[in-house]
Amino acid sequence: MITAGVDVGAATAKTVIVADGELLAYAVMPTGASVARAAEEVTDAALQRAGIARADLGFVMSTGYGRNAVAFADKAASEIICHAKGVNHSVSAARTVIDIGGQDSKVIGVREDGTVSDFAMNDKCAAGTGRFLEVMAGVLGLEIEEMGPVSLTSEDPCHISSTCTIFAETEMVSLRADGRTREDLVAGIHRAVASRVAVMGRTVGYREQVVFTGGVAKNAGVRDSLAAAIGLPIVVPDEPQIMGALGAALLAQTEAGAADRSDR
Amino acid sequence: MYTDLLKLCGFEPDEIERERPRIDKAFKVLELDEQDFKRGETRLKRYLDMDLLGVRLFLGIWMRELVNLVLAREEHDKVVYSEFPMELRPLMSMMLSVDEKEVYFAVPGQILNMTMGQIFDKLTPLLEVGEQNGLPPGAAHCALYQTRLGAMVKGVIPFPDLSLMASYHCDQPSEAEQLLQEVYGVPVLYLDSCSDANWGDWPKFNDYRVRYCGSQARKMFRTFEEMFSCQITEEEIRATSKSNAIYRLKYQAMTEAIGRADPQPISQSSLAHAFFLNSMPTRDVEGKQKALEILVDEVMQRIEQGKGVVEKGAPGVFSTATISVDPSITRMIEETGLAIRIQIPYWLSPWVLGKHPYTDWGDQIGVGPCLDIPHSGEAHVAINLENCKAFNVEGAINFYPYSCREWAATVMITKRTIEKELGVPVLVLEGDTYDTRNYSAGQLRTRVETFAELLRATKAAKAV
Repeated sequence: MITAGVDVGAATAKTVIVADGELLAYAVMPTGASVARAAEEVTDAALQRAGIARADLGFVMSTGYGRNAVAFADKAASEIICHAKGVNHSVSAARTVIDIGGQDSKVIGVREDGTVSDFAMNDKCAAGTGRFLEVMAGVLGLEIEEMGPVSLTSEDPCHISSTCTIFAETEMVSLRADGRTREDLVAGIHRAVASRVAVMGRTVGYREQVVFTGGVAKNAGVRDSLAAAIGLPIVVPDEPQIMGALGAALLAQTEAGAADRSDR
Repeated sequence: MYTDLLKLCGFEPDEIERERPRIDKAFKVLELDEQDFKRGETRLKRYLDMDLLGVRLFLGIWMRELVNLVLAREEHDKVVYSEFPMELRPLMSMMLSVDEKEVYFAVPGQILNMTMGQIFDKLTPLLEVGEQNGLPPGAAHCALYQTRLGAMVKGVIPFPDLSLMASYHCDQPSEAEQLLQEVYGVPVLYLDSCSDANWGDWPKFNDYRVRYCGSQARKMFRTFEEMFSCQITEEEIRATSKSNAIYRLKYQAMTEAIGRADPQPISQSSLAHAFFLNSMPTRDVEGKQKALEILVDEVMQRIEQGKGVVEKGAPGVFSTATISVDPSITRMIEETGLAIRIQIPYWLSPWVLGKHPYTDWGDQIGVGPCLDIPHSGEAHVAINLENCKAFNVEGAINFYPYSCREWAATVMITKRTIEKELGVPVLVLEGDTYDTRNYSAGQLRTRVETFAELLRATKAAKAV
């Protein structure tokens, strides 16, 4: 059985194709202005890599903020459930998932079977999200990919007192005026994000193994700051951005199996 | 243009024809057009149980009140307003003591919420005017009062000749009315109270608090009688008490039956228009009682027939996500497969109907704020917990209304208490009761869907 999981997030769209529980191919691209078009295009790209056609898919599960706009999906599921499932498949010992995406951050408690035991999510604030990092990178004239390596060379990370994106931007300008280095500023920003997310997840609790997912997980500076903030080691899967789509594709396998059984 | 919508709201064709000049005039002032009527129809059909006559009759009562409110100044000599948290009994006894043609009584914010918010989704322009004229954004002002002020300043509804306001339960009403008095010259009578209960007091009520609130009610009644050259007679008090008690008890019995039924027979979003008439002094007492009787019969029939709006056996939750201006969130919770057993404050907890020794009308008014939710923060926590126990729920959705200083204070204590005492999960949802700009349906849906999945998994595991 071949199934697909389509995760349309605020910043990127991801499609994962799974055959009999194993990853076959995936694609990632910016969501852009049209959620429906992004879902179509990213799925076509993944299908092309897998060398199969849309008609070969037995079941499609959509997830992410744009999940209800994926016209070709058979079913939709929340990204929290999908992330837990995807991480459980990649790191079976995972009991906590920290996911930082473009517009939100989540801490998810995961059971042994990959189901969700509890979760916390950021509210109406961009602090502790990828968007916060993007704005800060812009202020410092850096590419988002450069932030991780730059921060790792800091010797004295700044203390960023504000976690509000707007106020932190102002604070950044003032710290630069004080002569603080770019490395210390970026490391300070990472600490601010980590601190925000670490506090948010306290209601869920952090249990090993802690797995970090989402686009921001590619940033080694945030990863190290998070590990320090929660006092536990953190594992980042090879492709942290596709965990939601992978989980959706795996849930699609279960759904397709159930549909098969009910047909008999 | 609006005929289909009004028919949907229980209007008879001859009433629409008879009232057309008034309706035309009011809708013009409200800037409602074809697009709004279509949106209204779509929303009603999408979110409410429109096949129930009782639901449609309640909508009709609010639509008539909307027209009456807009035309109040040209049709009456005097206009008197009040608003939450003032309860219905003092308002109704005052309303019955004055001539119907001379004095118009209303809670305008709630009328606008139930119509311009719930039906037309067109409150924001009024809110914005309120924000520009004394209740600015970013200062945690209650949007109920922003809407009300905006509607007055915009000329959609008249400024009143008198405002009757209660200062218990929340500081926003008296703050907003002080502005109304000082900036716009509207006289205000306050039903003041002493709300500083100690932790551990609930469910006892403090005699001093009751009598203080009672003395304030008497003072308000006296001043009202002098201003309007009237007298609140025993007959009016009896009529008020009787109609209030009949409505509340019937409503209470219905919500209890809904909470214990499986499947959930009616959407909780369909109860909003009936519930909020508990605080709206409509003169159409007969219409409101009739609508409730019909609704009760229809709900009971659905229960007997096993009809439901949520799948049978769905996990049952307690919810405080009562968004006065928007039925979509409540409906969304139900659409994720959760049965809302009880939605506060739709269930009038038994403590509010408790026995007390007070016989004076003023003191009886004083009892209300000293017993139920307004008693204290402790009462918030305890009543929410008791609701969960009473309906044996498998989870709770505790709403965090962004700009409600009174309700927001106890959200996390309530969550911890329910989780600790009952061992059931509690989801906190951020939003606002009166302002749809303060939440994102997409983000709330993600949380609710996950929560629903959690509860289903727990229920399935228990069943094995």
